[in-house]
Amino acid sequence: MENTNLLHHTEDIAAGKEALLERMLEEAGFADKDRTESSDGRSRQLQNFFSAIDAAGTGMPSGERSVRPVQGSGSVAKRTLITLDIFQKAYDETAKVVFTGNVMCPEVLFAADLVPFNAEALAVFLANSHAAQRFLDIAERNHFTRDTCAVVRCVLGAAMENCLPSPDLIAFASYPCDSASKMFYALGKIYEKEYFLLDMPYRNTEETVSHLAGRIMAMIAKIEDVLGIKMSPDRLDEAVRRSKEAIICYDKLIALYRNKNAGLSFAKSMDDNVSGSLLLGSEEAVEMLRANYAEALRRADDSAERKPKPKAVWQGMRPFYSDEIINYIEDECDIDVMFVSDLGLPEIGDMMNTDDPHLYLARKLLALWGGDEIRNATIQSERMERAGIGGAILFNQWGCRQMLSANQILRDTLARKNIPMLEIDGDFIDSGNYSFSQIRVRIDAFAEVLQRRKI
Amino acid sequence: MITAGIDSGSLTTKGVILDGGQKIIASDIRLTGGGSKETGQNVWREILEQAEVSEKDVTYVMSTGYGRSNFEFADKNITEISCHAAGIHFLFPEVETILDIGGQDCKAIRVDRLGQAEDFVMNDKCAAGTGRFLEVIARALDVRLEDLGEISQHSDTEVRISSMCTVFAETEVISLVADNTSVPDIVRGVHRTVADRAVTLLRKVGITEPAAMSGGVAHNTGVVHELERQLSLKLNIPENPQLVGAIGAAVLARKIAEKR
Repeated sequence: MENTNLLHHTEDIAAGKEALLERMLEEAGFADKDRTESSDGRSRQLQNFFSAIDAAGTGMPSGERSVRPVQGSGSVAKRTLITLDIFQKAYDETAKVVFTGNVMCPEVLFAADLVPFNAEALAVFLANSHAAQRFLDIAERNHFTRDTCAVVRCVLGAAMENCLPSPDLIAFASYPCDSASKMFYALGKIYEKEYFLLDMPYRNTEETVSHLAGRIMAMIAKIEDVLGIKMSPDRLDEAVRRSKEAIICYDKLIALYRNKNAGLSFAKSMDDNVSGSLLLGSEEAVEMLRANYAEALRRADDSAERKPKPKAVWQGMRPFYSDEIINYIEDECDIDVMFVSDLGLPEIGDMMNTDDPHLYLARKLLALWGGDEIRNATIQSERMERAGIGGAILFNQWGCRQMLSANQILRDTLARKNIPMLEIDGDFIDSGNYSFSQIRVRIDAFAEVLQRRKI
Repeated sequence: MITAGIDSGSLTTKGVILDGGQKIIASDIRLTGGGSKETGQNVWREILEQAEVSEKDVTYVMSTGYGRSNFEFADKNITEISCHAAGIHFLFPEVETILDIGGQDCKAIRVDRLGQAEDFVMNDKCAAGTGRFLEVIARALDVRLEDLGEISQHSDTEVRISSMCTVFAETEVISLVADNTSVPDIVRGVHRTVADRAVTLLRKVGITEPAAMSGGVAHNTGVVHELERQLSLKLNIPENPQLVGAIGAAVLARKIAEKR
């Protein structure tokens, strides 16, 4: 189905994002289970997916979801449609599907007409739909303990139920964590498919850029070999051009968020950021970001008179099954929350001036995802100080060793600038690791510190 | 000007009245039990009676603690983190670092020179290292909670309690009892576990001397001794550490009332 058919529904957004999504799914044939009943392969897997979702029930009372109006509903619809289109294509029997994660080069996959199936994004989608618990339970019944990252449990639970589209190849990076790498190894085993590990260097230097560019070339060679295709250099150049265009657009967008007191939804900003990075290299990413920018510009004008509030940046993901924490901080504590990425992109000058596509992709990965936590924390603290941001909120993902080790580096760095940091322990996928009453006191106390400093 | 503070904690509810000269003229501590609202009201009545004043005589009442929003007689509520900062500053104006171990949580607080919380960290979603942890262990050993500090002084061998979980630590303690390990040695090991966790929190927020401790666990000399040993410093301990939150609430009540 063409995206344009579905885009006709954008005027119905007022009826609610979820209702729109439901109708789009129906029109796209997703709700017609008879369509796939007699088929095997990916059709069967899609049928399994919906059967599992049907059995999932509701994970959280609906009252705990956001009651805010969708901010920038047109671009949200656009994003939903683009993501849905890719999801749909991944279950097409003829598609060449590559399982991948958030840290990757989607440009390479789009240039080769491959369909990326982002396993980590799937977990987020399921949590957002209150359907993750079903797959988490399946993983637990299959000996994955509750202290394993919920993303890993959710994805492997879905794989065990044969709900994921069989991949043709698995390509993933060693960043952000070992758990994700092990998950992809496990997926390789489950589907008996070859995989490629893109080993991400820790630091961002000319030497590491060169190393990573070499690994990206090796990955392309592996894709060509396993899938029997030949990557067109022109198509890769074109994907890189679109990637640069999307990043420039995103840079302008977040500058608007920062400078215009635009009053935009934190959740939307996070979702746009994550979705955008997964789509880099596609024309859709550029379209989506342009739509976002146009909307943000209008909203910035509308909210010019908005009373400024103390601000805090949010680090890490948010619980996707409930907006309770964010709503409480923004509405009850009267604090504006902004996604950490909205502080600004890392230095991208070198990256944008790089003509060689492999070097560009290496620079991009290291700039956007580089793991030098001390350097990142220093840059963040300087940006927060310049922007007058009162504090940082760090959402610690249950079982995430990466985050547990990084959070003290950030706390110490911020403390040197007298910026307080609130740590919230929780889980962005598994609602079983969530209890608002256990974190309310610390949120209130943090708000008291920020509000007092404002006065 | 007379002000009052009520601290509705998970284990106990505390109340304090300060007179015009900022002297504590009434205080009360009692178990919160199943009804924090009712207990708070009882504490409120008790301190009014002790101070020989009526509700009308009290200019401003501040409530704090987990049940802080339950009281109609309170003018405002504020978190216990801000109140412990204010309470310790009232008692020890030079203190910059506070450790508060209460019934169900443990907090490390960094305060500025005005007695305002600058930054803080709390324990994660687990009762290990809190008053509840000591309560469970005391019950398992069949000793009184208030005797733990004294008992640990009779220890001559250090026992390591390896578990970080209250429930598993209780199982571990029961196993040690079964192995004929002496109760003082076990209690000392338990105190070390509590101190280990608290020191980790303190290091996260940063330790600047002088430091103080508040909350019911500060009554336990064994825990205090172990903390001082690990931190290589002397902790300022209030005469009644359980009252610090309520004192801070009354102090903040006065500040607000003065601004009105």
